[in-house]
Amino acid sequence: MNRLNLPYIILQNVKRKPYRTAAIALCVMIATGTLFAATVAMRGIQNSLQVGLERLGADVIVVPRGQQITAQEAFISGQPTTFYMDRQIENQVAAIPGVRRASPQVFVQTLTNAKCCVGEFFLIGFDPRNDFTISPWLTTHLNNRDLKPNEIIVGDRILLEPGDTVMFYGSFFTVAGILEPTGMGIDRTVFVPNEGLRQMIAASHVRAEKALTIAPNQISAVLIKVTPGTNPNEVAEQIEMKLDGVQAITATQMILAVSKQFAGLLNIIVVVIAALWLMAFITIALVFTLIVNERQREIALLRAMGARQRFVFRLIVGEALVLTALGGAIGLLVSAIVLFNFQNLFEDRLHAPFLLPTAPEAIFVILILFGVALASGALASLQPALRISRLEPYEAIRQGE
Amino acid sequence: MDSQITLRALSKFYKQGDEKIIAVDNVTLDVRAGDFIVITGRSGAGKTTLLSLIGRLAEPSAGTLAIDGVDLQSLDDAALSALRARKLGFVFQFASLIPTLNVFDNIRLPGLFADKLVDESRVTDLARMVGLGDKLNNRPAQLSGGQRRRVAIARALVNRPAILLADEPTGDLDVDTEKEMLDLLQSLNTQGMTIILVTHNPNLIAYCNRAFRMERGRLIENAPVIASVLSAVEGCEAIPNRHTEIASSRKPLLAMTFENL
Ligand SMILES: Nc1ncnc2c1ncn2[C@@H]1O[C@H](COP(=O)(O)OP(=O)(O)OP(=O)(O)O)[C@@H](O)[C@H]1O
Ligand SMILES: [Mg+2]
Repeated sequence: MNRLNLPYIILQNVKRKPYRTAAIALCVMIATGTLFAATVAMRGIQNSLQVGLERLGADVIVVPRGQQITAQEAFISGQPTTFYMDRQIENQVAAIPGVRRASPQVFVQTLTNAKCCVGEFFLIGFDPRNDFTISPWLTTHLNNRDLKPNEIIVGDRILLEPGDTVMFYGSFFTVAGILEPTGMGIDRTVFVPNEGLRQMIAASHVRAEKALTIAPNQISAVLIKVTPGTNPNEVAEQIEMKLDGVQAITATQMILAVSKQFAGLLNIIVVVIAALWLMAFITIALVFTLIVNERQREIALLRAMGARQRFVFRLIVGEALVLTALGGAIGLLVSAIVLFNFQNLFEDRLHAPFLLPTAPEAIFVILILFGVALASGALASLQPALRISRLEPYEAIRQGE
Repeated sequence: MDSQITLRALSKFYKQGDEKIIAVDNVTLDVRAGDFIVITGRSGAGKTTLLSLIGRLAEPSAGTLAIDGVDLQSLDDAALSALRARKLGFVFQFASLIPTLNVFDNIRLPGLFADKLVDESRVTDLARMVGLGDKLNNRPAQLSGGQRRRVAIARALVNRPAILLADEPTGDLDVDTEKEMLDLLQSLNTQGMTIILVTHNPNLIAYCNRAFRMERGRLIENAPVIASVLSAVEGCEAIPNRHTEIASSRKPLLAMTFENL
């Protein structure tokens, strides 16, 4: 003999109108799924910025005056750009008090149709001897040997393996290392040692379809690490005061700028999600008002048999909980599957730095949102549940007629 | 004080606009344990309202009501619910089964509220007694009106209530089935169950020991003499030893089953 209890009766009620159950579950599913996607996306951007900037390791970045925005885009979303300044800047910057290390980079015109790689990527020349931003993040270590001029380090999304040989502008390079994923522009960047880069530029006049026009005395940016205890803002100020034609951006400024850029988007998302939740909430409240009206007599009968007000209340709220649990679980599942399987798509479309949360973080968010969904369902059914549980049974019987 | 149900000047009014509708008017009544009361009266006289007041399904507008000496007005929801579950059995005038549950679950449902474990045999016995032993797995929608009514009777009995409040329990039944149901109630009554039965069928007065009629909310006790005239068979209290007489005419099968109750 199976048990006849509250959960059993609730389940029977849930099964009663499959379409209605499905409709409510769908509402909750959409609301919860969207909220989850947005939360993960926002966390993803945050994570990625943090990791990316940490990884970059630079406290201040010096670029030609007027190139702040473009530089930010290059570093954060990997939008290929080219701008140049005199190589002397590197030494001048290094001489500024508070600068511990200075590492130059040279940006090269984008390669869209390189034979090796899919999609658009960014080619940057760097100085392996002075570098503090790239090498520490290699997934495969170089065993303390120096990078040869024809060896390159590639971002996680270039899709090359160590040992692969590729040709850029007519010169061959071998992949020596892969960088850890950051979700930022670096993932789509190929780093070439400056020496190799100069050779490649020179050779491009002879071998490439399109010659490169970067003069040997040109660099694009200088990445700076300040001495411990120094305020990067002061160093940046010093640089801008003492050197002409350059702009010094601090890492904090960069994060702020990007956050601001996404704040607008975030606001829109928040409004849309709030609207979705409100709609789901109103739908549930409405449906449960209908449900209790429809079942007034039945509920009065239960009361006549000795069911307490509390039992009736739990019966209704319990049904709302089952429906929202169903919708919430499916919504979270679908949303998680989509997010974790189409991560690349989002990165490409949004041009946003994006790094998925770790499993514990994702599970934490899922649990919280599931709780939020349940709470909303319970809250939406609260008023109808209270009303019906307090209604005088005889009155309910008559009204139900 | 041997009064099991005590009604004192019990009234129920409704307001309809400026009009005051008196559904139950100043009813005073003492019901003793083991009484079999039949209430007749015209439609709209207030019979259903009175039964609802006795089960405290509706709040009286005036007067008091006590069961076993306990003023129902003083009970909170928990105590009142426990009283309904353990002491009272309702059979409603209208179809009153839970549509999502099958006959078996419908019958044992009150056990859930009495915190009593209803064993399977009790449910099947009751179903058999109301002639529905083969319909246990049916949903209410798969039953006829009379079958549903009989399930409702079985359900009202499952917790062995001391008091049965039955509002036209045999309304949809044919003469033979009606008699079977009344014989069943009769037998339970001889075992001590108090029954208050509302009916439009004057013949049912034969089963009671006290007969009342309601007129515009007022409850009027039929004089035993009038009762015997009204009814073609024995009137209430006209034949004091009616229990033994009816008992002797009882079907042996039913008699045997009742021992289990
Ligand atoms: N909520 C209400 N508002 C107004 N009047 C009501 C309300 N409930 C009951 N009444 C009135 O109370 C009176 C008694 O109704 P009740 O249902 O008790 O009659 P009854 O004797 O059971 O009738 P029947 O034999 O038709 O079942 C009726 O006149 C009815 O219209
Ligand atoms: Mg009635």
